Amino acid sequence: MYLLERELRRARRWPNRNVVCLDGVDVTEVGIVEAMGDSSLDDGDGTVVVVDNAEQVKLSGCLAEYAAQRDVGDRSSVLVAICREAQLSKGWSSVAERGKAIPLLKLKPWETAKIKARVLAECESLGVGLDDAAFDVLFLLHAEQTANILNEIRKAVFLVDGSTVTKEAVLAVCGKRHDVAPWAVSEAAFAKEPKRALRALSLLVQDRGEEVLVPVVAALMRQLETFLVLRHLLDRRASPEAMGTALGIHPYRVQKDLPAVKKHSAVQLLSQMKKLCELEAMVKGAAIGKRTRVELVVLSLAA
Amino acid sequence: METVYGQPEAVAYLRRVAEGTLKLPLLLSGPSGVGRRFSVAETAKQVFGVEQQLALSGGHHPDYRVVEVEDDKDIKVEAVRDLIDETRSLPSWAPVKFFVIDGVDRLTIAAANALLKVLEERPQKARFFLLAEQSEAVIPTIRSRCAVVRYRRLPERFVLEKLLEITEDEMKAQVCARVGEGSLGRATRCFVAGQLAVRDEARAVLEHASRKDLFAVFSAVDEVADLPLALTFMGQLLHDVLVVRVAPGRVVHLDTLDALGTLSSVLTSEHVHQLLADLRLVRERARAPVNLAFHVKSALASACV
Repeated sequence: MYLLERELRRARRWPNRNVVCLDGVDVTEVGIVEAMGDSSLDDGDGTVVVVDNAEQVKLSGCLAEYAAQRDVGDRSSVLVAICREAQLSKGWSSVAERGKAIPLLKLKPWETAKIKARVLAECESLGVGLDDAAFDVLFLLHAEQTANILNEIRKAVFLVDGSTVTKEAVLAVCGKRHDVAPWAVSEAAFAKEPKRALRALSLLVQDRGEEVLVPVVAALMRQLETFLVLRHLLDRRASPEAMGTALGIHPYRVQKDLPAVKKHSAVQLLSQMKKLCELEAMVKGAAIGKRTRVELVVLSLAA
Repeated sequence: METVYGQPEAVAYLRRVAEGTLKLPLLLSGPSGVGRRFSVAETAKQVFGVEQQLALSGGHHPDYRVVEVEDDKDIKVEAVRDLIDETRSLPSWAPVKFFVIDGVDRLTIAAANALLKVLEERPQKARFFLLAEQSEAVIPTIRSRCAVVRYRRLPERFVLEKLLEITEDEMKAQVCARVGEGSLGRATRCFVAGQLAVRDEARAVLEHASRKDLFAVFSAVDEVADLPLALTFMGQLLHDVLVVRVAPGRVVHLDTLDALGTLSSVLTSEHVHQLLADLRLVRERARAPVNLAFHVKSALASACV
């Protein structure tokens, strides 16, 4: 996990490369397909979608189908699936095979026992003990970086009564990291899931500060435009294929969006469009209350 | 000064500058393209003398300095400081130095303060001409140190005559003259830069909106080459839609009478007024770096839904 985090931090610094990180525990197969196909996320050189704990994703064949339909030379979006199992599941094997995935990296397991012994020895010199659960958390965050592990232990010592550092103390001193993309807010808002939308927004602001509100508003605007056109075409009884062709997106994604589109009427979407115009002008021009304004619009979309 | 047309008040002021009886800085306010810079250049020709006219016309006279807005960005303090440095030296060829600031309403605060200082303590041999589209937009401290000269819009007949000197297409010249709204510069730009092609794109957008084809409207907006200009044309075309019913001879876009007639039969007055109000709002918001296409689509979507 530590190495993955480090590589992702490096990847984010690539110019014009958008990196979307998803966790297999939370994401669905459809979510992965959407992230792969969403050209609006692509600022230039394409999107890399990283799915950690990929073995947790329930695969029904859609992703394999999507992978098979893509051109082999198409590198506009790349999927990196991290399966934490000794063997690939049937579903992922099928995705890899049909999508003609190139390297299947098999990483060696860490020599945890050695690292743990080294850390415990250092703890002894500090005059504290360390329980197993606390070590697991520290190892997840810092891997073989014993210096960093010891720094966390030095901080945690202040929070424990006895002489043993516990998991709770470690969690209290370690900063949490969240990987949420701005489109997660718009996706949840248009799916009419206010709690998920606000949580995503809150995590984004916590992680990247108020500057993230501009891309959030941009994501809301893109999504709203797509929804308004889909609603318009739906009212004119256009087929998903025709909608996909008109919008330049995969019909599968149209199919996926349609249930959410049906939750909104054209008049509602138009009224939200006007609100978003107002919001954008305010976010880019005014000095205060940006977050509250974005939250209000997200809620009015989701409610 | 005879070549300055339709600006008697300005000519009277500039004559006094040429005679040396007026040394105050002049704030020349009025729309662009009505002859503000031209009239200052004519004054300079008169003051500098016949033998220096060639250098003036070529734009490389050492005593005639122009600071202007570039790439639609505000004039920064560095540009004003350079100008102030030049005011400290005596004229090298002409009897006095002319300093023209085209866009004094676009000075940054620091630049305005720097200029204010030099206007308060003007060197004897310096003459200042400050150009602004609206004198009210100039900060009061600068305005109060200048004689304000207002430039009027030029008569349409005059603009048309000038355009017909460069084209034989009378209809196109007539439309460009009306688009210019009394500004020869704007009318010439419209003609030379082929802005009527953008007007046709704007008209296509409105036609799609009148057919309530939202998808076509959005696609057409995405294809417009110059959206801010198209926005201006949309406003003019909608005004024309209102006018064409009562006075077809007074529409701006005379060459599109048929299309305007069709639009006017489909769009009600309420629709047109609502669209005009929405587009005005978009123009106001466009001062911030907003996603203009989205805002235009939002304004037009009301007509489709």
